[in-house]
Amino acid sequence: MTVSWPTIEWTWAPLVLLSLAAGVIIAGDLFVRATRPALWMQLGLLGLLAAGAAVVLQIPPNASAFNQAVQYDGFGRSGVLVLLAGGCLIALISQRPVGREELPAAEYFALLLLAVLGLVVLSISFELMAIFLSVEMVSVGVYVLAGVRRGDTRGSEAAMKYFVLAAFSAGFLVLGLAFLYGGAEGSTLLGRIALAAHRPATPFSLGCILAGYALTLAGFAFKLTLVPFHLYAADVFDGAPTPVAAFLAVLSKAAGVIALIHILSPLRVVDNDALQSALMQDFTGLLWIFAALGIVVGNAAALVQRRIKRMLAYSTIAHSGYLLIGVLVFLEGSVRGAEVETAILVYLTAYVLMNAGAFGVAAALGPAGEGEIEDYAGLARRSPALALAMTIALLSLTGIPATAGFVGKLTLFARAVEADHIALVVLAVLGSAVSAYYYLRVVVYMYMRDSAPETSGAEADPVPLEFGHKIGLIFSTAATVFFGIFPQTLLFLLKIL
Amino acid sequence: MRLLSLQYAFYAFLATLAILSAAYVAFSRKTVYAVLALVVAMLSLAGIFLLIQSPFAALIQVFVYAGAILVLFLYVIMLLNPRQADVTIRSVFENRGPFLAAAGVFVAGFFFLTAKWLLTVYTVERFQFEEFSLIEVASRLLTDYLLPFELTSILLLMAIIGAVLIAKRN
Amino acid sequence: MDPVFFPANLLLSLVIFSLGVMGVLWQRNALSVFMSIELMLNAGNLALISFAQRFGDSAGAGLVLFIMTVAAAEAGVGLAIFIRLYRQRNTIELDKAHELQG
Repeated sequence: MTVSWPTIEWTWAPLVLLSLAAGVIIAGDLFVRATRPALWMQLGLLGLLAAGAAVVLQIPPNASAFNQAVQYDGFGRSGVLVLLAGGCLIALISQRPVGREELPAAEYFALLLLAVLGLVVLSISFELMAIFLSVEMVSVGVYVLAGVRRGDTRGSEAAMKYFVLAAFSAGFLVLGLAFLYGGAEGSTLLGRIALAAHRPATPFSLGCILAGYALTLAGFAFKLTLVPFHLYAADVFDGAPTPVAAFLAVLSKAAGVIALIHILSPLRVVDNDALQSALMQDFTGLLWIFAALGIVVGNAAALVQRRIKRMLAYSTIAHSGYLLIGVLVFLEGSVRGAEVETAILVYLTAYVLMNAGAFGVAAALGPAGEGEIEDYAGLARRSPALALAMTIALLSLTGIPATAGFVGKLTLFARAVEADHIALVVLAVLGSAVSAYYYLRVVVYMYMRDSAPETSGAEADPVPLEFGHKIGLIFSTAATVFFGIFPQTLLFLLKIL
Repeated sequence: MRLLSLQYAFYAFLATLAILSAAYVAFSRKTVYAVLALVVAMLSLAGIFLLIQSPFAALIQVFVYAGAILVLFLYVIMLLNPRQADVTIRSVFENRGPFLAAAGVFVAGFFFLTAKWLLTVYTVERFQFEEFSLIEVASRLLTDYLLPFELTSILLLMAIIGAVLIAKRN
Repeated sequence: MDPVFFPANLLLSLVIFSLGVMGVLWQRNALSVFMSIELMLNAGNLALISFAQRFGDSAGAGLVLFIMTVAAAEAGVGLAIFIRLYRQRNTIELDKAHELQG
């Protein structure tokens, strides 16, 4: 008689590893007396890297589990890797603020890991309830992390704003998923919703799907800071600790885009039935408006901001406008889906890297780097390395050639041109041109202005930057430049990993 | 038939109660009374769950919502002292104008569409109905919905850590 | 379940949901806003359970359980945030003491 060993369900592995690492950090904090921020950060990194390794080594593309509820399709699987890498960067650039003991180290990294776990689930689940729960995990994590800074009322206020609006959007999501569930006649699987959308049993169920998508889109619009729903972003970014703002700006938006593609994929045009395309036109029209509004409003509002994190907040609103062009092109189905998905992944990778760089420098400078843009005056003289990293990140955000941001925009806009969205692309290019003003203004301050004499003494930070923080900045900056000069390597990496 | 009409009358009563108390919650300025109205709304929804023969949902509605969440609300109001618990969020939405306008347009448009769909398209039809046992519910939760089920445990863990972290005094 | 209850439930859930949305926009007190959000979640639950009964999905009550879990988690953390903010301000006049420009 042979003993049959239980087989390991590898599709679970990244989730288990992440929660295990978080558990070890939480439990370990009970036994370790001294606060050891570096230790908890390393454990967190270990968890993230192990989860990434499990995905790369053990989960083949198109692995699925739970009756198609979890699928590692090519897009989601690469998305998970981008998110995990972004999680590593955020953990690294958290080291300065956590090291200053502004944030409770163990709880901070544990919650960060669990929030990343939420993002991972969000980008691989094809089932509404898991999507909803993972959105909530990310929200709960963010509003706790936004509000934990000791003795800080701005953070609490940011947490409350984010909480109220996240809960409000969760209300829309719940009703939306209820209607989608009804439209699919009692199933929460996206595959079943796709069937119902293409061959509705009754007009009623098609109506339910339409209503469900409208509500779900509204719920996601809050998370993605699409334009009529963006008003909280600048306040929350400004009030929250900088690495948390980076998490919100970079990772939760990237995962949101991936999930939006998955959720809307049932609506993607596969055949030319009239009902379907009528439904589609409404949705693509809506996405068109969201994208255009995001580009216009985000760039216009960023022009007048005086505080660095508010400027970055509006810049991410503009970037979600650009990303939405990709979603729109994907949904219309005139360009091959895999190509659009690759373009979006390239853009997301660039977006994660350059924002991690910008927010990382702001976090490294501490209070002096989180306030007014004018405080950056003379930074090039005080710490040339940080000024260089910031410059590269900002150039990349503008989309200057030889940076990853340029490659991302180029691939994405090329697909949009292919799909005949000339107007949107023109708008996006104009937006990028405008954005050069507010991004490069910071560069001008850093290199061409001298710091005001009365503040320069207070700003000088005698403590050398932590090793991990340095690594995070070096990595994101180097990768921004490297992928900008050799874009094929990024495509290659996305293909083989 | 008489029993049926009694059922309808009961439903109408519960639905009216739910709408009225929900309206009180939405528009009243008195926080403590609003919590009590919310309890009434949730209990009448639990009654409706019973009427549509979903006793498990009714049970957890009473336990979790009316029992746990709303008691938490009452505690918090007590802690903040009802006379002073006026944690206004006017400053949160300082320029509420555009927000209100956008939200209003969206909500109006959405409800127009949904109401149109529901009213024009739906016709009352007979359908098969069976009441599910708790065992069936549980077995679905632990098979098809295992992932969300596990995620709830992590979500609750995050909430516990977060609540302690945020509310503890420095 | 009587078939008539199904459309009635959907309409009821829409009414309660819209009352919740209006409450969020109308109220200024953070606690009242949060209570209105609870109304929205409840409306979602009602729609969910009605659909489940209509289409004979045995997992319906379980799905409601998930949403209640989310509501509980949000309530726990959200109310903790309110308490923290209230303590830090030590005042009722949040209007006067706000630091983030809108």
